[in-house]
Amino acid sequence: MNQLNHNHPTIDLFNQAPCGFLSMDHEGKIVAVNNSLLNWLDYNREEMLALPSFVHILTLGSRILFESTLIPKLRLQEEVAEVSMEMWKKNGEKMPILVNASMIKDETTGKSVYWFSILDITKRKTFERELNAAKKEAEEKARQLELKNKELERFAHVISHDLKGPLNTISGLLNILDIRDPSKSQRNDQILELVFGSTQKMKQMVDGLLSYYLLDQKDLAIQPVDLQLLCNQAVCLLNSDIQKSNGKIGVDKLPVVQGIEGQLLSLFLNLFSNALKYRSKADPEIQVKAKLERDWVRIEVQDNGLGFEPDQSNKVFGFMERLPQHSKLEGTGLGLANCQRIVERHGGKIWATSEKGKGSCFYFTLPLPVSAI
Amino acid sequence: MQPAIQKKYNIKYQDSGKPVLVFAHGYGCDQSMWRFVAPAFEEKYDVLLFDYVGSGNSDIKEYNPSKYNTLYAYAEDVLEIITYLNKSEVIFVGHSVSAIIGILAAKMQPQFFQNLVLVSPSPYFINDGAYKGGFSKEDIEEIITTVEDNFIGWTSFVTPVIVGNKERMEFASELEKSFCSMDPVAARQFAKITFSSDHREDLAGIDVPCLIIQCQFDQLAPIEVGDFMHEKLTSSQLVVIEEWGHCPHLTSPGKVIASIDQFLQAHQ
Repeated sequence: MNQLNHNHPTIDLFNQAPCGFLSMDHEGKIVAVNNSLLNWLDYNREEMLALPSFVHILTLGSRILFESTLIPKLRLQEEVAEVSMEMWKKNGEKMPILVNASMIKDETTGKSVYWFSILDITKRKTFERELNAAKKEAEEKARQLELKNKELERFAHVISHDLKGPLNTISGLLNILDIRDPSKSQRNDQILELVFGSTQKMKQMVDGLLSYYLLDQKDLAIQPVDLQLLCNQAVCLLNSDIQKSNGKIGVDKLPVVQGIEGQLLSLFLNLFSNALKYRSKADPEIQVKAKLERDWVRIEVQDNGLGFEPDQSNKVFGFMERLPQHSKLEGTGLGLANCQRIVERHGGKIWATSEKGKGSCFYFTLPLPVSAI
Repeated sequence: MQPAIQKKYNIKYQDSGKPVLVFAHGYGCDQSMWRFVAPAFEEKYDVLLFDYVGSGNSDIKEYNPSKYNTLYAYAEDVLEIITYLNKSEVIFVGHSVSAIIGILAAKMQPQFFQNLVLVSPSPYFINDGAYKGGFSKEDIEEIITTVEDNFIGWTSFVTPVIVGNKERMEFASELEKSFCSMDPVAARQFAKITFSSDHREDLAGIDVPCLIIQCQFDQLAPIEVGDFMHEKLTSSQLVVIEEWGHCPHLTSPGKVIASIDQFLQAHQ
């Protein structure tokens, strides 16, 4: 409990004001300090006045700020307001403080004296940190929203152009269909086959879009998945395509990872069918390798296909983005965008390297189960 | 001097044909930190004052974080200023990190520098074996946090929102733009490279005559660092000022003026 000295209200105010007061001489030594600050920091007056300098009780970052900005400002403008710093309590705890300071020239000695008023802002600091965290979170959300908007714009564009193409073909073909004339049945069959082809193309695109958006589902089970089995399963599913293109898929030893089985299967299917589709003149050869890196595995899928220019390596993962040189080959521009989403949902990264005409290599990382680390 | 360059670095300079004395401020401040020293040289020299991009009243639009990620970028800026002066050489006075920026600039284009005056220099703030830089590696993160608290903390970003309207915001920023103002992004990055870059190796092979001004009791650049600089810079002279702190040009401008003047007279 503070004791009042009724004869010296000014001294009482100095010592027991609800803020810290401290003065420092031109050599940085503390020359006076009030009781409030001593109590906050748990020092007695003799101990504090015996300290080599005021900066002694400042934390390191504050010490640098003090020397590099606060002192220059004080020398230049004689007062400084609301500088946020931290002080050491005697027990080693940090105390966040807000400092106002002024510099007074002692006319008798010609030396300067510095006065500081100090507020304990422990609570305010907590709010400030929360505010900062909320701001960062809001910025991140805004960034995601912007990405989503761009995706939607692209989506609308693709719907209006890419789906309209086969739709126009269908309506044109149906216009010239004449089912009343039996002599035209062969021609009609050809037309219907073309119509069927166009609807297939549209179906493929709609399926692709659907699976892309289904990736956002949150309740899928994450569990240990044997990549070796999964990769072999993908090879079996693509068997007829592999046979047709006279291709080969080699798979090295792959580990068990932590993930969503259906999505990882789709990842391999996408990468393999791309490698088969964007093939060069040589028979497709695909090699899958794995490299363990601490708690992650890095998978490599190397092919000997068409490849792409090194500066297109980010573009290949773009949503509904297709490389100009591939425009003649069928595709929705969703395959690799899907792959990227799958890998990112697993917390990993995906990237590709390539040289045009020399094949490409896709890399991605997946988390290992905790027990394997 | 081209107006664009003048605006970029907020250059204060009048060419009257005298030798040129360039004053470069240290971290956390701006050209105003030379106000007790620079005027003393105006009679004999054409004094040039400037703010680094991101500090003081420089043109913040020129601040590109991917460019300013090493001190070399700042050294190139110093060279750009000197190139536009169209003078054969200058005397460069740099405080703290600017002393090192001056060394790097002199390493790239030694012919531009007649002399270097290094006030409270430190080539590396972190302790490394026998080298006593003053700080540990872990300390650097804390430094960055404190910088963030002061330049990016509530004081700089919450207030304008509460104050609200744009006019008043401009008024507020006018008030804040006193001495030693810094752009928050630049302040963070400049702090990071200032306190974590190691330029000890760059001291070798500097032939430009240098004056090192060291305070006896400096918490940021301890006296051992001054000795290290003096040892590595073979054509250097070391002056130790009996003074506390890191900014002798602010706390003892008279002594700093006398040391620089004496050194320059001897090297005329």
